[in-house]
Amino acid sequence: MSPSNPAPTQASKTAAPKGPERQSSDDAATDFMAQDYSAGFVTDVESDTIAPGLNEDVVRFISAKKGEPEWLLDWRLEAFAKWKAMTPPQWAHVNFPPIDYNAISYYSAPKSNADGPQSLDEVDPELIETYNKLGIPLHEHAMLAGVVGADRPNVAVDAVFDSVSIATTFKDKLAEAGVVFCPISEAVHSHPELVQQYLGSVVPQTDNYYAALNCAVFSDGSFVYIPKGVRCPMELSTYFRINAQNTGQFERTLIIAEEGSYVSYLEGCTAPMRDENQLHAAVVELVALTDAQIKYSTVQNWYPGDKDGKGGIYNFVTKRGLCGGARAKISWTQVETGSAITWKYPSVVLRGDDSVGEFYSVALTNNAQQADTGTKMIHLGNNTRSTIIAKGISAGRSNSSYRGLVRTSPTATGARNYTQCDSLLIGDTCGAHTFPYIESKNHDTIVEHEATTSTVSDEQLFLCQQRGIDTEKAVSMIVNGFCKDVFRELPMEFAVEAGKLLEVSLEGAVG
Amino acid sequence: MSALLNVEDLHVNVAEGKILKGLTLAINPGEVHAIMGPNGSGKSTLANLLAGRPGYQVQSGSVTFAGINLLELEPEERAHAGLFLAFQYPVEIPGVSNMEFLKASVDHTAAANDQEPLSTVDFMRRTKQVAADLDLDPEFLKRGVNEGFSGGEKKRNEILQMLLLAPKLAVLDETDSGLDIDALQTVAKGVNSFRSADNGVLMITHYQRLLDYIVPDVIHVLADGQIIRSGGAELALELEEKGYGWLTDQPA
Amino acid sequence: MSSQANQSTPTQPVDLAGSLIGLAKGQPSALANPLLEQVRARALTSSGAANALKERWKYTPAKRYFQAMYDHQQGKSAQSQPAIELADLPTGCTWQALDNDNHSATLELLGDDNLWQRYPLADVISQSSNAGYCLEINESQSDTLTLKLQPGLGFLIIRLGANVSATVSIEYAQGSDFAGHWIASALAAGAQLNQALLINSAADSTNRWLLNQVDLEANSQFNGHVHAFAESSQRLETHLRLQGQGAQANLTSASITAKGSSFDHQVVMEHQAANCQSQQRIHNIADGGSKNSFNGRIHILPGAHGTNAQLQNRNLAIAAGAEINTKPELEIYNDDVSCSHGATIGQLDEQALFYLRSRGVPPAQARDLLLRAFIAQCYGGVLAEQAQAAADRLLNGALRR
Repeated sequence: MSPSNPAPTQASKTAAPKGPERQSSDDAATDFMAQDYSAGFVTDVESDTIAPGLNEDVVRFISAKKGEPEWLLDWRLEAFAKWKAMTPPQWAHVNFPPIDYNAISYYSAPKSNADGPQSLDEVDPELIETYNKLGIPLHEHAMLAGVVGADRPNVAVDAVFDSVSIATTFKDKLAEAGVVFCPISEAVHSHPELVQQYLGSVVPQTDNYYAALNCAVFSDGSFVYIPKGVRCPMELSTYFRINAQNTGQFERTLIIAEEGSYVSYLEGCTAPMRDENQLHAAVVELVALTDAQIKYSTVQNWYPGDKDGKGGIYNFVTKRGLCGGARAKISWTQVETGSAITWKYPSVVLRGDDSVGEFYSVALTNNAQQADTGTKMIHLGNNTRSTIIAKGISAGRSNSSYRGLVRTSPTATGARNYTQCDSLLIGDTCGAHTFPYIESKNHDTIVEHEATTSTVSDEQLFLCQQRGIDTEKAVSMIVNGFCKDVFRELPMEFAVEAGKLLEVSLEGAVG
Repeated sequence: MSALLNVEDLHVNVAEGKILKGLTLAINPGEVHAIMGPNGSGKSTLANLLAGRPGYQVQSGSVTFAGINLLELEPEERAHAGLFLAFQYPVEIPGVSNMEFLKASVDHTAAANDQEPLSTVDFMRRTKQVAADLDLDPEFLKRGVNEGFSGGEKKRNEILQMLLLAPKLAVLDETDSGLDIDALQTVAKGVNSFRSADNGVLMITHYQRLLDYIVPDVIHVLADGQIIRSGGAELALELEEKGYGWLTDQPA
Repeated sequence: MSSQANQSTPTQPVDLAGSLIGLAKGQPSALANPLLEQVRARALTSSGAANALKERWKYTPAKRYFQAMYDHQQGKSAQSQPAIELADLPTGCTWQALDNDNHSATLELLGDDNLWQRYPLADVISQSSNAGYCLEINESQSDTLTLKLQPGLGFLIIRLGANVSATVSIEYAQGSDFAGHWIASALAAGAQLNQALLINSAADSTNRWLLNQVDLEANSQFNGHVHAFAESSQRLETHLRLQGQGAQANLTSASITAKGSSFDHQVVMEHQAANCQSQQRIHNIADGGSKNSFNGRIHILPGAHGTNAQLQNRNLAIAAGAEINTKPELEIYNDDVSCSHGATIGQLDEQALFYLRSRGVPPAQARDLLLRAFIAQCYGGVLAEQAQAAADRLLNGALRR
């Protein structure tokens, strides 16, 4: 390899030739902040919000609002009692002042349709407009008419606005296939036995502080059930948005894939720009039975706060999948560009023999953002396999950490894991960290972990400039190349979106 | 005279499918055979199968080596019986010194044949002599097996082992690949010095070049899992001139 | 667990925090030293430090070590022999027992907030009277300086003058229930220290615990070779601080844990200055019923431009019931670095096994050969031969079964 033409992901220490118009990567980093948060508008919707504060009455209020059965209220109250005795986790590589849980409002719903819209026609036009601004077309007709591209496959969308699900599209078409895709608050009534069986079965109430809180006060979220042998005919998608002020969002998602079924699920998140921090403590549980496959993709673009670190979402999320049967497969793909703080470890419990867990992640932090994210692969079954590809990009004064656990239990004979963990630093005021835990209790396993660190070098930028590519575009190209292995795992629509998102985040990276 | 190696109507599968489809071949003591053929014809499969590499399933046919059923033997038992494979891609074994490795190999082979092991002094002397013949620095014996060796060093190391173990049959799998002309001559010199009336050599190669230096008694052309033509050394020249298409494109 | 903690008294700590508090309350300060009191107070009260400590003891029961240390402290008047012995004192060196007067100045130099919070062993040792020694090496040494670690508590400061090079070997004496040592080597500019360490013990109940600290000034070099063959419980904390520009640290570590034993090796490679290099190669073997844990942390501070830091960690579990834990960490605050690590847990290379078998080596012997080679890749320095003998003894035991 020629020293003047290093591979894009390799660190290099050689000083670049000086040019009068050229800007160094450090300067680039210094200016890496001027871009706007395009999803940061506030929707002027009259909402039905309870006063901030957290106590048993609030839990009862939420449950009553949803008209929940008694078992669910009891379950919430039990979780609430346990939560009160717990303490927030301290081990993550993030810093923030203690959260005042009594300053948060735990329920907010758009007022005009307090009982929930029965069809799209009943949805507040302002909300429709909101989703249009976000680029999420809710109108099936619009999509069917090919507005977003003729060859784009149909995507069924569930939109969650603050605490309630606004609209779920394509219900009829999904029903034909036997697929259930609805707000979880609805599933509690329509499929109580499934909800009762699986709720909390993958993430127990006391799994962690934020999960326990979610159990007590969760508002809404999506419920998906794919019957035996069914391949879900379209991508399922949920868009989450926090709109109201002082509101936390605590959604709960439950996906059950019966034997031999398949589903691909997409999740997107945005929030308005607000000066105070907002808490998002979601729980996602996936259950894949024998030969079932779940592919779960996230593009997370919560408001990250301003360049001084004021405001932004605290994204403290628990996501876990259970490969409950043989040859089950769960795949997590995430692109994390938003949030002031990300604390998130989408994990897979590989219980079924020959089951497969995958985690593909891009986490970009800029300005004062902090991300502590990664995964856990818990190998319990024989010949279970897992793959982890994690890419962290740090710029500004941000810190990005990969934290992962690969554990092979004595029962996991023949288990295999491969982990690749790469960090890209842009500028010398950010931090990139890797904390992988590898624990093996079975001598017949193979675990491989590799980690590298690189930067966007001055030579790379110079080469691009010399070839007529401006520095901003060059940084974007290099970062996109760095993330290629992960983008490849995203469904087509999301891959495009993710690439654009990174590009937008990198706008203004150089002056 | 009974054949040293007798391969009868051999059919072999690997995970990807059927590779050998009825191969028949006999090598007598004192003979040097060359198998040539296009990529993917099954040349290396034959070499690996003879050495007993896991992953090759014999569907039918037989392989007799020095009068015994080779297919029933473990890889080390085949080595003890006198079958040697010079690998196309010799694996690196960091930390195990070449000398230590050679000693283990020679000692176990001697023990399996109820022979007295060479004394350490004799072994060292002999090894250094052979290394010198192959233009290998004595320091090379202290390094890890194939660790950081150049392509040429790896191949010469294979020939060194062949000379030390003095097998009945040496199978050379693409031993010429990746060698410059000097290294090729050194390797050929080693192989030629090995040739005797009691042993045999099976060379597997894609190119005619090696045959300029090690002249075979018989040349076989392997295509699609079968030997489609056998002949004397002159066959190689014809192949060089006309390419494999000359044979493979002919209607069956 | 919590109910147990509530019932415990300060003299019977059940967890890390409890242990520390127990030590603080139960043991009168041996030195009326305000600085040490201050340092200790910091180590015990900061919740952040407590968390970090917990993390560092994740795979080794702290109770066992802290209790043994505490018990030893209680009866420490019985310790008659010096805890660290030097075989011969060559010319150009001085050996001095540290008394209470020169204690604190020395410690101030070696310990900063982070170090004290991280290493309670150092904290406690520093308060044991008559436990400290200082070896100054002012001229380059051609012969190896041999240190023997005796049971009990002790610390040794090794100072290498500018451009001085020396080789030090460190071995353990047998016996006693507890051996806690802190060796702090300070390398002046341009100095070179070659250090070989052998932690080798017959099966006994001794808890061996060593803090091996090395501070490197500009252009100095440390070559460390750790050999740990455990039939009991052993803990090694290696902390290297590259404090001057152009310093270089190379570390190899080979360990084998035999049935019923444990070894926990915690390495911190701290790049504080620019243009420093570090290389680490760590190979561990765990036999059935043993636990082999490793934590290798590379920490690159904001000012450490031009850093080159690599770590390779490989682990083999050779029988059912072997437990291996590894955590190779990177903490990087600088984009002008070349930094990578790799860790594997696995078995012997199947290709290499086949190669050996095709040359006539039977499977059992081939495995044996590869296993010994695997661990031998990390032998180094003046103790390599002794290490091999010690390793062979354990491997022969393991392979006989």
